[in-house]
Amino acid sequence: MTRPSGADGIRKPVLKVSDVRLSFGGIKALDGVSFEAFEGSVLGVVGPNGAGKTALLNVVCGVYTPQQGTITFTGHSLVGRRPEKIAALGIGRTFQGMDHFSGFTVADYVLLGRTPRLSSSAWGAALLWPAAKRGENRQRSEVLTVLEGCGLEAYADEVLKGLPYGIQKQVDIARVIASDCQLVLLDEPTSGTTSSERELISASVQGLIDSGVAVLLIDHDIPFVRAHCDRLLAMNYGRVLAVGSVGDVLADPLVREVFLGIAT
Amino acid sequence: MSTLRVGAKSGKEPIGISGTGPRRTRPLGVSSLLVLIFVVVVLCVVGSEFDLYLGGLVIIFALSALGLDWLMGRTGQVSIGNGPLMAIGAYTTAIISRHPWAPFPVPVIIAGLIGAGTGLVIALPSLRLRGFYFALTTLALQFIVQFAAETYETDSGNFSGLTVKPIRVFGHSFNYGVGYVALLSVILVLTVVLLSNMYKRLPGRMWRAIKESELAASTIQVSVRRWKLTSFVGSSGLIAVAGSLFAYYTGLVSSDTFTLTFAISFVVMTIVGGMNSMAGAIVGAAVVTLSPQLLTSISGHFPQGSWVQRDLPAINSGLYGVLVLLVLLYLPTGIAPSLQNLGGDGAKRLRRLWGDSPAAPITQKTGIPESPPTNGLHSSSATLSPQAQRHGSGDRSPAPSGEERDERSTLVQGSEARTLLTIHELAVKYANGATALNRVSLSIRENETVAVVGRNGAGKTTLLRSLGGFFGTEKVRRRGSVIFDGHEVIGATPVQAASLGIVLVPEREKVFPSLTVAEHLRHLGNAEVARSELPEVWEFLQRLWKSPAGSLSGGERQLLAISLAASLEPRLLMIDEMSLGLAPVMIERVTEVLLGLRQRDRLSLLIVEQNIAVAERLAQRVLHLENGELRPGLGTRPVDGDL
Repeated sequence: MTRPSGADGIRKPVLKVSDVRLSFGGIKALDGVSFEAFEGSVLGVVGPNGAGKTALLNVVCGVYTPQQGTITFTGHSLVGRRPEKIAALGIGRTFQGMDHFSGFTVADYVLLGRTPRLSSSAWGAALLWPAAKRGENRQRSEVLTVLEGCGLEAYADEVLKGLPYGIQKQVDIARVIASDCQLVLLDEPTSGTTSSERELISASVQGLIDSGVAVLLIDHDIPFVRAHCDRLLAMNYGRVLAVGSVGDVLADPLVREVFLGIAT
Repeated sequence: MSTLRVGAKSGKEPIGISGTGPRRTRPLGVSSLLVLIFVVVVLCVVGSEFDLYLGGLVIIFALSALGLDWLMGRTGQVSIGNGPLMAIGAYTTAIISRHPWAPFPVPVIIAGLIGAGTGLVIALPSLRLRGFYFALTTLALQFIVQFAAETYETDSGNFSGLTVKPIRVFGHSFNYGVGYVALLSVILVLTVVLLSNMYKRLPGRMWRAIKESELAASTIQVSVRRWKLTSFVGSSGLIAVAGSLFAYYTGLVSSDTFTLTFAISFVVMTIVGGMNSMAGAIVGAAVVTLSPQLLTSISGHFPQGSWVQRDLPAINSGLYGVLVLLVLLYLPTGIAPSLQNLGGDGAKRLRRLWGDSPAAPITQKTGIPESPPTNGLHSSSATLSPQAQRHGSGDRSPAPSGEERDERSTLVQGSEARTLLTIHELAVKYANGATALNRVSLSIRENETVAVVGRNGAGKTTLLRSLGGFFGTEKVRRRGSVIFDGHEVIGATPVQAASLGIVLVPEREKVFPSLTVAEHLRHLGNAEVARSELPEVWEFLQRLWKSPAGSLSGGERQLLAISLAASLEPRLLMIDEMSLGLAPVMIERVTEVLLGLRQRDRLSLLIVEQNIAVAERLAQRVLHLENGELRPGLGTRPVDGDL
């Protein structure tokens, strides 16, 4: 899989965030954040707890509306759009914790990623209209293919809640892979996992990246971020400390001090 | 690929897999449908007229309860609107069926449509309000409909209600009796089939996603508004149809019927029968409809004028409460799902109730034949405090009892630190039969820091929770003893454990989101102690002094929780997943704080940690918990018991 190198300037920005400000009752979660994410490129977002990483992700996918600033995705303005409308534009996300949908089976959960491709008529489903039935069967087999690709097919009928946490996180990534997004926001894929689980998650993330989507990867694990990202965005107290190539950002003295706790 | 499976297998922890875990959504199931048909046929053939009448009533109420299950069990919208929606269906039928242009099915269809329209209206507040707030708006519907019905009855001169003419097909009327019950059964079966088709497919997934988390669902392209509206419209239509059939059945529609009690009885049906289960709605309808009848017939056997007969109305009105209480206590998922589970783990549970050996599953699970606990060899050196080992107490037999053991280690250790905590063969088993801890033994000295590492689901949290006096109210079986400073902790409440000086900082919910940082330290903890013992944290938290803890980041919460716990001057401070989800700089900070705390006199620390480097830095001993068993160090990197 060849990926465009970080330096070529031809790639188009998919996501453009400029001067976004978000505060919760006096606490500035995002304080003038601006950056761009490019087609087919992986932008890592790092920063200590409370730096505003998750807030940034939630602003992009419409959970929070910023008080100021603009966010555009392939020419569409995202500010003020409802989360499901933003998702429909082709922005997928994973969740930091997997509590939300723990009652789903693996196959059903990944099928959520294929929702737009299915007939959404309740009558069609109730009366077993052939078109609805065929669509459902086709998508189910597509999902199984995705699960096979991720090595998760053995779990297809298991309920998420009963599976190890690392597998749950892989299933979440399989869901965004199945949904064919243009931009995927990965919210701490390695948090709460053990090192062996991390390797498997790393493989899933790589599979996602290889499919050529733009990725925003939030994580604390520096080796993990280093392995997957083309560019890095370092944050602290809701502000951007540095943005650029992985090496440059990690070498930035301010970043080293704040994030890695290494005094310079 | 194979590594994945192997890793996953061994990591597949039993906790929460079955039993209390999620059920796969099952439609009614062919077997239960057959049972249903059988019951109806038997009723038609041998039942008395009254039995038949009751059977029809159960089916009508089951239809209504299925509507509520759609809304509440599948979509997660709490509603007490069944009464008024049925009333709307019933009144529509009573009024329309008088006209010659509306023969039998027409009023039912129109009632369904009007019910669906009402559903659309009551759905609007649900787009903004959640849970009980929304339930209160459905309560408003109850009062509005009741008021409108009373006014209509008064104004139209029908003081005792509106009569409904029996259904006439080809000049043959059938309102009750075999014919009508058969018709109702057909409608019920059709409804169940249509609903299960939806639940199995995309609509079912959308509703479930909304039920689990509306916000999260919306970010993954679930159109929350649309599917909520669909659920409201559909279920309200169904409930109104049930109301219409009810009107035909009773022949009289009166505002006295559709009381608040009537509305609440449907909530009782879904809870008692089992939410998220169509069989549950039907069983619930049967139980709630028939139990007052049963009670009445039982009371007939009591002598004339006895208290049972005299107080029958009072007993009847208390029945709902008792039913709900019994079901919630003993069958928390409801009657029908519990019965369905009987075949699987339910049988296991029964076997256990009859005294099967509790230790067996472990061997099966790990696949490693467990060596019998012959003298001392079974439990690793982790069971003994390092001092005891060093002093070469050759026979490492597990101590026979806590106190004795306590004494002995004190003797062996001489003037060295006293043993604070002695866990002896602690075994914890969950209600679903999963073994979380398998005969764990461990002792912790005063001023000692012990870290427990292990993968997710290894039983680490269970260990801490058992020490903290939790599990008292949960269906958890514990064996063994935990002696803390001469007191048995197993069976103690969290409050008692805390008063002994055991304080737990849990993995989640470690702070109170609506209280500010200041309130945490001033009102819940001891601000003076917090300030003097952890001055750096105190200073750090000053910046957030007035912020509610809910707005803090993960690291800030951890610091607040630790500082709060430390300010209570515990003897044993337990921290679950100390570094989970924290940035490296925050891990460093928390580690520093804990290293500082370690210096404090008479404080022992028990830390659950996944980051081995952090654990090794913090603790004198790092123990490995796997599959509910404690081992010294780690498989690949044995850590010396006494660093």
